[in-house]
Amino acid sequence: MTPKAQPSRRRFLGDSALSLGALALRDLSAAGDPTQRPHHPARAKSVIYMHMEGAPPTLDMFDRKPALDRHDGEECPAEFLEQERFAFIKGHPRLLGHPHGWIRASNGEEICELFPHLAQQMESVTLVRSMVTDQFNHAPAEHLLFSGAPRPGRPSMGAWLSYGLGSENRDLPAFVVMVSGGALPSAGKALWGAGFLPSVHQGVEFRSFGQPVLYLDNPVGVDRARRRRTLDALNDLNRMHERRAGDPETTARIAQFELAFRMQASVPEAVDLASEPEEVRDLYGATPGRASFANNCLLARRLVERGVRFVHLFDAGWDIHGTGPNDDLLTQFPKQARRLDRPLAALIADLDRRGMLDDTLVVWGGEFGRTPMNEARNQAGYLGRDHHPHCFGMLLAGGGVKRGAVIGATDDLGYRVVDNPIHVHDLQATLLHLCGVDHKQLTYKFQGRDFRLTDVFGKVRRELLA
Amino acid sequence: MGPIAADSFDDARERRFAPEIDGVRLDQEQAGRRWRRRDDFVDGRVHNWRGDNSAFYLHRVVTVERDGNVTLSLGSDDAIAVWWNGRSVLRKNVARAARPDQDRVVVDAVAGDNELLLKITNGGGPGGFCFELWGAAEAGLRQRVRELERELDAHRGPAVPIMRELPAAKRRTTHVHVRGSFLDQGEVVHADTPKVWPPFPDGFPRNRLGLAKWLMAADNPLTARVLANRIWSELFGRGIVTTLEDFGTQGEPPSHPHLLDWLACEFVDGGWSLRHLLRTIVLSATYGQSSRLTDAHLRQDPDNVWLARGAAFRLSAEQLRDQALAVSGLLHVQLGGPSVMPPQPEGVWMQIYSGEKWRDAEGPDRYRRALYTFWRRTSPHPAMLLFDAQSREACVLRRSRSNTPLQALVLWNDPQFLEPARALGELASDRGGRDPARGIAWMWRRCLLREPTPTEVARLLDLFDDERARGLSATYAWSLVASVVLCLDEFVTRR
Repeated sequence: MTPKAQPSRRRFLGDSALSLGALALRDLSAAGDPTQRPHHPARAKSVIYMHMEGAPPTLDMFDRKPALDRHDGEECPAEFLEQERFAFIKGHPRLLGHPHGWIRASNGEEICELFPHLAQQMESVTLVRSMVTDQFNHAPAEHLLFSGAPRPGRPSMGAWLSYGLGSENRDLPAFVVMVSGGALPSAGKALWGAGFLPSVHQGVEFRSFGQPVLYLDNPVGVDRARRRRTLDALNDLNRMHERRAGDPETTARIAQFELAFRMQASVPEAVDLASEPEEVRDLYGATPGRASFANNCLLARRLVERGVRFVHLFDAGWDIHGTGPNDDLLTQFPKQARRLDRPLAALIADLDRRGMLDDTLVVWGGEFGRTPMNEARNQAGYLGRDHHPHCFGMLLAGGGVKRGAVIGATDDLGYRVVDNPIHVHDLQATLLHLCGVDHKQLTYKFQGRDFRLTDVFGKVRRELLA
Repeated sequence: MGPIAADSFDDARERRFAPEIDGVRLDQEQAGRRWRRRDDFVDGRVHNWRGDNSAFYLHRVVTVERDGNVTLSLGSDDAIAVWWNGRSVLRKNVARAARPDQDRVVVDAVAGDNELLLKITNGGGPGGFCFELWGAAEAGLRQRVRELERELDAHRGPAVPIMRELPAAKRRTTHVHVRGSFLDQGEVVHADTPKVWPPFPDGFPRNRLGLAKWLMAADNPLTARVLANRIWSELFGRGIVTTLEDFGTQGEPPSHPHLLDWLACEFVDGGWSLRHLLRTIVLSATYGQSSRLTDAHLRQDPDNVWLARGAAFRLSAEQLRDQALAVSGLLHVQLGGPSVMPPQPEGVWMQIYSGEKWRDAEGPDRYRRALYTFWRRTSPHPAMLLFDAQSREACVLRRSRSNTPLQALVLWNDPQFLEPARALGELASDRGGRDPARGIAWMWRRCLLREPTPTEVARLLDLFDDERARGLSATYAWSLVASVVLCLDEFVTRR
């Protein structure tokens, strides 16, 4: 179907054009029409994706290896080093046992003692122990995870979903991003970019200080009533022009100005944590007015409630190399665990008790794993692990995935997957599938070929599905 | 002597090894190490060695004829410590690559022999140093040379790196990388042009000059068509070939193939003059049509493929900002020079691998054309992105043209539009004098290039009077009115 041969479906759906995801009416055909409706019934209406930037040591969180403790301090097997390149490890590294103890989680598995709240929610979660990626540096691995290719320039998964499914809420964007932990991810804002897709599909960053959305606040001296009066004047003049020019694009612009005016009220309402009952704020450990992962988790729930399609949280500080107390397993990791444990568990519990978990997919993880060996960069006296693409753990909950399942396994030392490897492309295919999208059908033509999120790879992993 | 390995960089730098404790004993073993003579260490050149977290000692006897100052010009990778006749004269903890003349120390030399001892501490990668001795006269001359070079640089303007071909002997062999792996090298390949296009003539050199000649050759069927199509697309909002970047089998066929051929020929016959091509198009009857849409247009040709009306489309992110600056008289039209940083909201600029900061420009640099806005792919200017500028991570020739509420917010609240609104309001206020209606009409003509209707003036006058009656100052009321004009569909759309 060429754009010329068939007018785009959206042209007749005047209503859907009046949203944040709207392209100019005459510009829809740039590269083919997105589906804007699912390929099959969706299990998940929304996705909350929590990315732990830097890659958390999931080996020490969800994948206890008694053999690793037994051989702590010994040189790792020589076969680990064959054909292998590490980001930082030099020479023959030594194995490093788990630095923290273990408790029993509600799914019957052991979990690191630093996560007592999460332990209680594991019965609602699918734990994947066998994630695999191709990249062992942060930025390329993040690009691969979120855009399907290790280089910048491709659309991110939130942009694909916005392009494919549009927005559920006319007053809020389809794809919202929030950042915590005091730093941007290594790969920068490209991680929520639209790549070659129309730029309306890029993630809209909700900020934790100042105005929640850029340019939302009126300048000093313009209150809501004055904005209304200037908008009325603008509307009147635009309508005169509309009659003269006869262009539906003008009609759309009038509607967008009205929507902007509504957003100036709806966005502050959506992000107002003070309006949450104290009990709920305590559950998350959220404090209104502060930038924190806990606040972002609670905000994510509020946004999903209001129909935001994809909420992407980025939390920094997980790059546990052990070069000093700021990135080691004994000081930094417990700090991070304290920031993560309560809000993550609270989000799952809160969604569940509201009946929202069934159609909200929650994903938690990093961009790769960490080595079972101590990195010991420059003979550092701290404990830490190097980047490791061969295996890592991830959590998925709700939105049509199993409850309490454990998928895949790693070897005795946690170096490689021995059962059921799940590549990041498979995760992408499965995530789209749960949202009602066939990853092979959602394509965009760019520079002469059709592109998709999963590149030329990816399989929907049925064993994850409930 | 060295490199002497230590536990860490700090340890190597802080620990005092034998030469610091016992002094330099060139012919003896000191703590199990011996001094080695290095005739290869030539003055004024950078010399390197390997050894992470290590210390390296260098000793030199400097002989002068009479008492007086000499200057030690030093470079080091990384930290450096210097002793002159046993006295510490420099100690610097830095991490850097060695280059000549990074540090200078002026010392008193005594007639006869003087002892110089350097300690270079290296962190990771290569370690290295550079040393040169300058007499008093020489130091003065060097200083003068440096000043003159600085002066010369000021005349030259900023240096712009330019790509240049390597000399033939230095070119590397290029392989096909099998399945894209940089480790897996397949057959050797040479520079050539794709075979589907006209052959590369034997007479042309196989370098960039040859490529340029081939590209611009009279029988190259693509170059003129592609460029003519792009110019057309700038003026009509869509190309004759809509896939501007793809004239191949995966692209769209042209809507008007003969017109494209004719334009391409006209372009070449006009001596490749862009001005001639632009004039030809904008003076055509097709371009001069009204862009008013009728129901028949909308029903039969909503995309205006058949050009039965003039083009209408929203201006680009850059054009919108430049236009607002231009009508308000703020635009600073200086050509060229380094990029500038117009205002952007605080907290947007977060650099991952550098400490660079976004500093809102003051003065004329605040109002340069958007073309000069500083661009970083990991953190592009947010207002430009909202108007469909690309982040430039992928090469995208055709931007989408969205119409979103976030754009309305930028037009209302971004200082890049508020400041022009204020300036435009001031100009209109001056023009209007005691009659605001005159100021409004002037503003309308300036922004929309047509006379306003009485209703249009009345509506804005209404807003102005109402806000004044509510106690708003005249200046502020004028900027509110100007802001409405800058938001008009007629202003942001080209018709």
